[in-house]
Amino acid sequence: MIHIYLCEDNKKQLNRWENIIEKYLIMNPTESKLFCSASKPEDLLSIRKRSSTTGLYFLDIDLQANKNGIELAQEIRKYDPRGYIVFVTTHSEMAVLTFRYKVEAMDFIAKDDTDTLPEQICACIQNAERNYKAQLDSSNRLLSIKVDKDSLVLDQNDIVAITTGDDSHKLTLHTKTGIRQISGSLKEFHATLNSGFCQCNRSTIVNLKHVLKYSRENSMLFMDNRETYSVSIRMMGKVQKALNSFHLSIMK
Amino acid sequence: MTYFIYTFTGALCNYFFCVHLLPNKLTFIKRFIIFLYAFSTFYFFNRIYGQASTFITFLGITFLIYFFTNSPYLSLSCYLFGYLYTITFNYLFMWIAGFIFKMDMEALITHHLLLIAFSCVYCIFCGTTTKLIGYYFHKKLNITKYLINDHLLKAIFIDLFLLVFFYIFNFSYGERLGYNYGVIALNGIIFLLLFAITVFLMYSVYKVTMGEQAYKHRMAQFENLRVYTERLENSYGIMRKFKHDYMNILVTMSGFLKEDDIDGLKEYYGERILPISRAFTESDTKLGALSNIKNTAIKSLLSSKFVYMIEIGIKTEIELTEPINNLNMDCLDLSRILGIFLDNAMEAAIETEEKQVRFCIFYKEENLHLIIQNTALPPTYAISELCSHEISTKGENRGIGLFNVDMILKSYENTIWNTTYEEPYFTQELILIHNGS
Repeated sequence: MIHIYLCEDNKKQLNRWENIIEKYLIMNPTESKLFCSASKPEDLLSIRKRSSTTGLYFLDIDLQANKNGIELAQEIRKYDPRGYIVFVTTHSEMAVLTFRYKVEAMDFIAKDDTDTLPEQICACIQNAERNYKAQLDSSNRLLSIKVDKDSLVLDQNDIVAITTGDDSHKLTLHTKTGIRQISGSLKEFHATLNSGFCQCNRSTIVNLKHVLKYSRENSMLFMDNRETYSVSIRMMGKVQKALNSFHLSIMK
Repeated sequence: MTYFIYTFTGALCNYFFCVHLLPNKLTFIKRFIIFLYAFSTFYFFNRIYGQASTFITFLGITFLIYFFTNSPYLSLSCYLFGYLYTITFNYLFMWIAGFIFKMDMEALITHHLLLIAFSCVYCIFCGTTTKLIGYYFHKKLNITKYLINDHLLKAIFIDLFLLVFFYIFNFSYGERLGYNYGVIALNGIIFLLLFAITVFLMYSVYKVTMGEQAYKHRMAQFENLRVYTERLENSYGIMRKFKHDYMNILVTMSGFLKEDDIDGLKEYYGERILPISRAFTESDTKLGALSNIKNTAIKSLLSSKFVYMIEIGIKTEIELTEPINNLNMDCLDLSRILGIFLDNAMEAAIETEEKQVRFCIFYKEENLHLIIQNTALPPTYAISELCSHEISTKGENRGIGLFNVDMILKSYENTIWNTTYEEPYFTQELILIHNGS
C-alpha cells in the first residue's frame, strides 16, 4: 500500500491535482490512497511523521514558505528513505540532475504543460506501484551499503564485481552500467553477499552470474560488462568448483 | 679490488644524481642501462685515460637521457644540475678530508682504505641528498608544471652544459698537472662560488617564471569573466526589452477582456506570449546560475567552458540551486578535474544526435556533489578501464585526461568518484566529503 501526499501552495492547482488523483484511484482500484494534501510543508511533515507506510509525494518547488520543495523532500527522506518523490514544477525551476541525485526523485512533471498533467500524474502513480511491488519481491536480494552518512540500496544481481584499488580502505563496485566507489574492506563485504559471489584473486570478488567465460589457459574470467579478471593460482580450484556448482544449480 | 669499489661507487654516484633528479621516473630497464653504462665506462676507461674518461661517461649519459625522456631539455638540465652538485660537494669533501688527515689529494687517492671509506661515505651522502633535492624540486616547487618555456629551458641547458664541461676539463687537466692542497682549495672555492651563482640564477629564473605563470593565469581568468559578464549583460538586455514589452502586452490583453473576446485572447496568447516565455528559457539566462559559485577561479573556468558549449550548439543545462562556498578540495585541483570532465563531456556530446550536457553542483549534508551528465555513444570499453593510461575513446596517446583525474584524486582521502553509462547518458559523479576542518 502506498500513501499519496500532495504539497502545493496554490489552492487552485492543489484542487486540480486532488481531482486527477481521485479520479484515477476510482477508475483503477488499487491499495493506494490519497493520504494528505497540504498547502504548507509543515502540515505535510507532521502527518508524515505519524505514519510508517511508504509514500508517494507530489511536491511543488516554489512553496512560498520557509522551505522550498527540495528542502522539504530532503526532510521527507529522513522519515521515508524509500518513498517516491515527484516534483511538479515550471520549466524555469527545473533542475533535473539535482532532483535525481540530491533527493533521489523518481520523476518530475512540468506544470507548464497543463494538458498532459493528468497523464503524467497517473503514470507516476503506476510507476510507484510497480516499483513497490518489485521491491517487495526482491527484498532478500537487496543490499544496503553505507556511503558516508547515506546508504545506498543495490540489487545484488546487478553487481558484476567488487575490487580494491591501491587505496586499501576504498572498494570499487562494478555494475553493468558503471563503477562506484564505496568504503569498506573486501573481507567484510564478502560476508554480506549471497552464495553467487566468489573471490577470484586477492583484490577481486566476482558475481558468478555475470561470468561469460572462464579461460583456463590464461586463467581469466570474462564478464558480461567487457571486464576481465585474472584468477590467482591459489583460487583456481575454488573458482572452477564454484562455477560448476553454480551452473548446476541454474540447470536444476 | 680497490679499483673496482672505487669505480663502482663512482658509477653509483653518477646513477644517483642522474636518476633521482629526473622529473619522470624511468623504467627499471632504462635505469639499469644508465647504471651499466656509467659503470662500464668508468671501469674500462678510468685506468687508461684517468679523469678524462669522465668526458665519455658524461656525454654518453647526456645522450641516453636525451633519448629516454620525453621532455629532454628539462631532464637534461636536472641531470646537469645534479652533476654540478655532486662535483662541488666532492671537492668540498675532499678538501675537508685533506684538512682532517693532513694529506694532499695524491696521497688520499693512493691510500686504499681511506679511498674506499671516502667513496662509500660520499656515495651514501650523494644518494640521500639527491633523492631529497629531487623530491623538493618536483613535489614542492613543481618545476615540471611551471618551467614549460622551451626557449628558457634550452638556455639553462646550454649554461649548465658549458659549466659542467669546464668542471670536468678542470679536474682532468688538474690531474695531469698533479694536485696539491692549494690547487684543490682554490678549485673548491672557485667552483663553490660558481655553483652558488648558478643556484641563485636558477632560483631567480624560477621565481620570474612563476610570476609570469600567475600573471597569465590571472589574465585568462579575467578574460573568462569578461566574456561571462558580456553574456549576462546580453541577457539583462533581453529582460529589459521584455519589461518594456510587457506593459504593452497587458494593455492589449485587457482590451480583449473588455470586449469579452475570448477567442481573440486565446489567439493572441498562443501567438505572442508563449514564444516569449520560450525565448526566455532558451537564451543565455542559463549562465546566470553561475553567480551561485563564489570561487572566482571555478566560476571563470565554468563560464568559459559553457559559453563555448553553447556556441557550438550543445544544449547545456546548468543547475546551481544554492550558493557554493566550501569546495572541500584545493581549488586548482578541482578546476583541473572539472576542465577534464567538461572537455570529455563536450567531445562525447558533439558526436551524438541529442548533443546534451547537464551540469550540477549541490551540497548534501555538507558533502559537495558534482555531477556532469552528457549524451554519448555507447562505450566500447569496460567503464572501469576508462581511466587507465592507454585507453581513450579519442584514439591513441590521448587517454591522459581521466588518468590524470585518477592521479589527482589519489592524493585525497575524502573523495568518491562514480562513473556510469545508462543509454544515452554518460555520467561522472564526484563527491567531496566534508572532513570537519
